[in-house]
Amino acid sequence: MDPKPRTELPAWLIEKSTSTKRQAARTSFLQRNQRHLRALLTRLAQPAPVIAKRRWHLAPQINLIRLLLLVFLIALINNVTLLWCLAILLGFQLLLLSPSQLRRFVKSWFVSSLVALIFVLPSYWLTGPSTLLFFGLKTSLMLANAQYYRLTTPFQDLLSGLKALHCPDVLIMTCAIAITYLRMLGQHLLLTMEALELRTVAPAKHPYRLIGAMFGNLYLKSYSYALELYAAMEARGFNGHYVRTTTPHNRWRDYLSLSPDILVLILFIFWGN
Amino acid sequence: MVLIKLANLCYDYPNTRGLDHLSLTIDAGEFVCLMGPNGSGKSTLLRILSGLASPKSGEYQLHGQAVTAAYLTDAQQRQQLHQKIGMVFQNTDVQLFNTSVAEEVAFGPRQLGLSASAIEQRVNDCLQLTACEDLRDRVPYQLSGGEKKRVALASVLALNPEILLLDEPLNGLTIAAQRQMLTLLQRLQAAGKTIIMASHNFQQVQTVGQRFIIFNRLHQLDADMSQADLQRQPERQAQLMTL
Ligand SMILES: Nc1ncnc2c1ncn2[C@@H]1O[C@H](COP(=O)(O)OP(=O)(O)OP(=O)(O)O)[C@@H](O)[C@H]1O
Ligand SMILES: [Mg+2]
Repeated sequence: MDPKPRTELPAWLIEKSTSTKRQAARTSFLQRNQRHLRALLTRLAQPAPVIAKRRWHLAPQINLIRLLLLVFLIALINNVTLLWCLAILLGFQLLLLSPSQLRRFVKSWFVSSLVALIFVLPSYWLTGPSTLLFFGLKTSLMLANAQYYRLTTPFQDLLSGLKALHCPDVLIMTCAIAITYLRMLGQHLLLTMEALELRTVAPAKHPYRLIGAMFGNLYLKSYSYALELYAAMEARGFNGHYVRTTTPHNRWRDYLSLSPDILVLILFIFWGN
Repeated sequence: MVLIKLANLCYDYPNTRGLDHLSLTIDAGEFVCLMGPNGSGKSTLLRILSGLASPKSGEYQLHGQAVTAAYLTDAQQRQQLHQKIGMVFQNTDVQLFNTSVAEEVAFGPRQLGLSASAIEQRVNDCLQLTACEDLRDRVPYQLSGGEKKRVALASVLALNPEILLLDEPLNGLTIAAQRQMLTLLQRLQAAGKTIIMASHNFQQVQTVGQRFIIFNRLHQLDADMSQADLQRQPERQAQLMTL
């Protein structure tokens, strides 16, 4: 039984609210940047792009092995010619992407390379420009391969790839939850910020206390969300084991797709350095 | 007096349409119900009206002032807009971010530079109006769905906005609580507030809504009629009943 609320309105609610014109107060850092922060969160909360089925569907583990092999090779190889080979190899793969995918690739590659450059930059003072250039190139080549993988592989394939490589279920689950889940949390934070924004009618006096409360809330929320998510997964028959769905694929194609990388590996072993 | 004017308003989400060429005007003091099937654009319209999203094309005027993306970049103008417009989200979960219900309601008035006693007064009044007095010291995120809805309304009322945007405010409420909330909304309207409420349950709102704006699946305006007009169209009523 709901308690009977009072029904007559108080006087302050009846009078027309005068929109208080405040002197141009110092707007806080939070307020000035709220829009940017929101824009950033919007981007983070964007769902991953839907990946079109590729013409040649490779086994998921092969894709994963290729990525690992490439990263491994790029990290080890110090021979410029061999690195060139790998770059050209990637270039050929990029040619097969659709224009919109290519645009997305270039954008995310550029951004991630810039971020990485910040970390590589100190080597300029330690060892000089040539090392910086070399390491910068290597890093961005690695990132390019990773971005290519990310753009062309559905999330489900990453999971089945990990499973096929006998990763423990716990690891796969952590990965799966973290990826789907961070987006959800980002979305949640975004909406909370919007709600906050809507009720902000004056520059906040203690913005940092507010931020604290908001993140505290987010933490509590994320904890109960995680429990609920797991319960929901269990309710739908999840028993802690990821099942591999086997899709028919051509083994020869799989090996063929690995062959250029293996060729570079062989070259590296015999002529590298 | 024309309060809100929309002209040829379009809104797109990254990969879907949100609203398609919407034109309408809303007068001050109206009680408007937005109706339509799931995904027809009700929440999207409320987001635009509240200034959270800017239309892709077309115009939105409030009190004759165009509310554009450029207008909204100015923090002070934005704050003035938020003082005029209060919104209860469809997902009330995200709306409550303070550590207690009383704090939640006091959040708005505290920024208005009111005295401590005036703030206390507003908090008490709002909690009483929404029948939330006994939740006063609870933590918002632990409340039930219906309780959250009521606290969210209380926290919005505390700012005394002249326009109330309500996104499915009756969902999750018991019949008794629905009736109480509708009575409160009617009183607010009588006090001169403009109320714009999204709903897909015609039964809940048919007696209180004075104007019905109906969207179709294509995110377009399907019909815009007064309650009296709607009374005369039984087939339209039947359609709304089965939304
Ligand atoms: N954040 C978003 N990103 C992408 N598309 C969205 C987003 N929010 C809504 N949409 C899409 O925009 C359209 C309109 O959605 P909206 O939320 O306005 O519908 P609604 O009328 O409020 O529906 P409901 O009755 O279910 O609340 C839908 O097709 C929806 O899928
Ligand atoms: Mg909605």
